[in-house]
Amino acid sequence: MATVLVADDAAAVRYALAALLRSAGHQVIEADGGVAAVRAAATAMPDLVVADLHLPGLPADRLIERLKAACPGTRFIGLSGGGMHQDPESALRLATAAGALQKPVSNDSLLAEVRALLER
Amino acid sequence: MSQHGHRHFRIGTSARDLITGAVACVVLVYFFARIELVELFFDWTRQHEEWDLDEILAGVPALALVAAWFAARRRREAVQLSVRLEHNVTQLQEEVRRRRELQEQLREAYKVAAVGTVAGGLAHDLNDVLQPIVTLSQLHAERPETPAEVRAGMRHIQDAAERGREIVKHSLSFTTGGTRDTEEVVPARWLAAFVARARESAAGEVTVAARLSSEAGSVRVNSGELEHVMDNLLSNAVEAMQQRGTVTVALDTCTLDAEAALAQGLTVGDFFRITVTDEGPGMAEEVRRHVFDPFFTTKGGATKGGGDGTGLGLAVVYRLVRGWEGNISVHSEPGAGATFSVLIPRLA
Repeated sequence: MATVLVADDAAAVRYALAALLRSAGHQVIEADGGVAAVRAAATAMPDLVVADLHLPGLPADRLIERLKAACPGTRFIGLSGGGMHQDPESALRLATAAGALQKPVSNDSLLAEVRALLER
Repeated sequence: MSQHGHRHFRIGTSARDLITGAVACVVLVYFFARIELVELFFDWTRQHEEWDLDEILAGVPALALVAAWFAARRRREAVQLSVRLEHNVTQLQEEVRRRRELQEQLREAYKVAAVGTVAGGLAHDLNDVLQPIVTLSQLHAERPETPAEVRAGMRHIQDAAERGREIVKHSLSFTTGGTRDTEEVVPARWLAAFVARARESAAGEVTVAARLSSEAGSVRVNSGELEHVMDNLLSNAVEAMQQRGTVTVALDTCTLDAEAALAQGLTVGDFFRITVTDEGPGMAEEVRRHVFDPFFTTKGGATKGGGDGTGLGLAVVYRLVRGWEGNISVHSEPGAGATFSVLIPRLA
């Protein structure tokens, strides 16, 4: 199966998403911030990155940009917390993400999105 | 009172009054002379040489008449003034009443906006909290090796998380004003379909009656939101009647003039009016006044459907309807059911 990088500053979210993705047969690496995610992507060259769109240290658009530079072939799923962040700016950010899902995302929706992106 | 109004009501002797008075004096003296009244008067005064005031006294009756004329004129002005003042006081009272109503509406709007801001901030944090609960409870509930007892527990956690997600979603409706896609909807057609759906799913002994005008006009709304609003009003009505009785959905049109529009916080024009009437126990004035307030609920704790007992159901409905540049109001009295009226601008 694929290698997936899960980036989220909340440890419980990372743990849960990693457990779900492992249960689906993927190999998972984790990062707890934007800069760490870019570093991990450069090393592990994941097929897919599942990242919170509001990671500390790196705005979502910059994160996507740098991930693409560090690991050109990778696909990207952005997770949005909604609420205050549903402004035009974040709508733009969401639009630049390959897949964008609203937290809390159900297991089925996330796995379906992962499958769809990996098959591309 | 305006500056203009102030000048308008001034009482006093103007140049015009003085000229009028002088002319009146001359005319009267001339008139008295013509009827030889002056001569008679002079004859009479000459019998009293000691007075020696003939010419001056001749003007006295004329002056008395002019003074009387001035007094009458002032009295007339004073009466006119008091009538106008009375009229102005009424206008002023009306103005105060309108402003109070506007203030009330503004306060309502501010309250909703403030709650929206808070809800938006909370939603982001809560969604982060909910993510691992949703993911892990489902993951473990579906694993074959999970013991049945644990699996049952996981399902409960899943349900609770789902409910949490719904509450957050409701709260978020406050923060997404004005960015949704809208479309032209023909209320008569849309409501007929809605009533048909409602009849199919009506629970217990509830009858859904419809009194729909066949007006062909349309409104601009998001049909998903319209569905949400109508679902909410219908389920509230059914709940109020304790699943028994008749809910009437009606549609008609109305035109708001300046005063009616102001009272509803709307602009002047033609509107479609959708009403949902139940035969429930009605509402006390205190409940009626707060029925659209966020977090106001009469439902005891967590219940399924409609507003979910979160106290956000009707607050969200209010917000959505205002988003269509419409308004929602409720008429109810204890023991006499309740009628919710939704006004939506009719497209020209």
